[in-house]
Amino acid sequence: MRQILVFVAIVAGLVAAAATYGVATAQACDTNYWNVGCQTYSPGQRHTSPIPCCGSYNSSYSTFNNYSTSEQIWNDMQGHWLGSQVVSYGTTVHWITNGDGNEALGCYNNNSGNQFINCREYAGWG
Amino acid sequence: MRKRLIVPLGVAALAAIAAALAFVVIPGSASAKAGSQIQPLATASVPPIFKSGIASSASAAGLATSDLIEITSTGVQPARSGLVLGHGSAGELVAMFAPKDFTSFVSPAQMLNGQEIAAFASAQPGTDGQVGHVQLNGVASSNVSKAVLDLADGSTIQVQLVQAGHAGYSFFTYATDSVSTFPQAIHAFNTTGSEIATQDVRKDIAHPTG
Repeated sequence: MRQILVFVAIVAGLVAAAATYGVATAQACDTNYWNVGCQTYSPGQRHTSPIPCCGSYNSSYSTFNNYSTSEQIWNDMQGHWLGSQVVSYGTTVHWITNGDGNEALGCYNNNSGNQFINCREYAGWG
Repeated sequence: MRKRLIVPLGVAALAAIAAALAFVVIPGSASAKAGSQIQPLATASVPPIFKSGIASSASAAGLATSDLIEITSTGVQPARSGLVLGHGSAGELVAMFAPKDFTSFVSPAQMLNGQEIAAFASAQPGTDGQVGHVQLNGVASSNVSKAVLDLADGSTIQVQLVQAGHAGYSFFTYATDSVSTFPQAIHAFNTTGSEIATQDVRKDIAHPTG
């Protein structure tokens, strides 16, 4: 009986691991790097950095799951939208921002279902 | 059989230049409203800051900057969006640019992600804060012979497919500042006229308010 329980536990663990493997890349999150965060976005949901930026040249970058595209966005700190760019996985967007220190870059789910997105912004076009 | 555009002398000269730069650029069937123009990035009218930024990005991706080709939409003048194609040890790579941004260089295969056609939208607000300017840049597989856009006013428009590089992909652009001609979906057709792919772009151009 004990052996059966151990077997079931092992199988359950393997099934759980297999279910999460496909999204492992999108879920790994060092928030020092992914400074806009790593989280599930519902359709039409957006997140931008809580810390205002920018000089005139800034970049955003994302990885994501479930769909072939995601969207990166440029807002002001009051939430007004200034620009957006749909991208494929692992694409960086280099923005010409206003340089007024009242802006933020981030990510947006342009798809019809939930999407897990790792999102970051950084200064410069490197 | 894909229709060949009758190329005016000036564009033919540019095409000759492009060919000399090791890219084969063949304009596909054209629409007067949804055409694309092709020229070396070095002589393009892209703002200088973009040109240097794109060239730096290309260099970082291992591309020869002297080979960079720009494809821009003729829909909005002066052209403010399009694609930049480059060739290097990593193969052929593509970047996109819009009025306020440009992307890193990625492979056409990555852009397609197994699909026959992929359109990437960029958008900016008008003076009322709502979507006022929309651009589409995209890539189609070698199976696609024709691509047609559904527009917001119910009309359709065929987009010019531009063959470039040696991997069989074609590229297209579209830009508009008019809500009535905002793109809604793109349809891809093969040489027999059968529709082989559709992409709804309405969510891609929507005002991201959520």
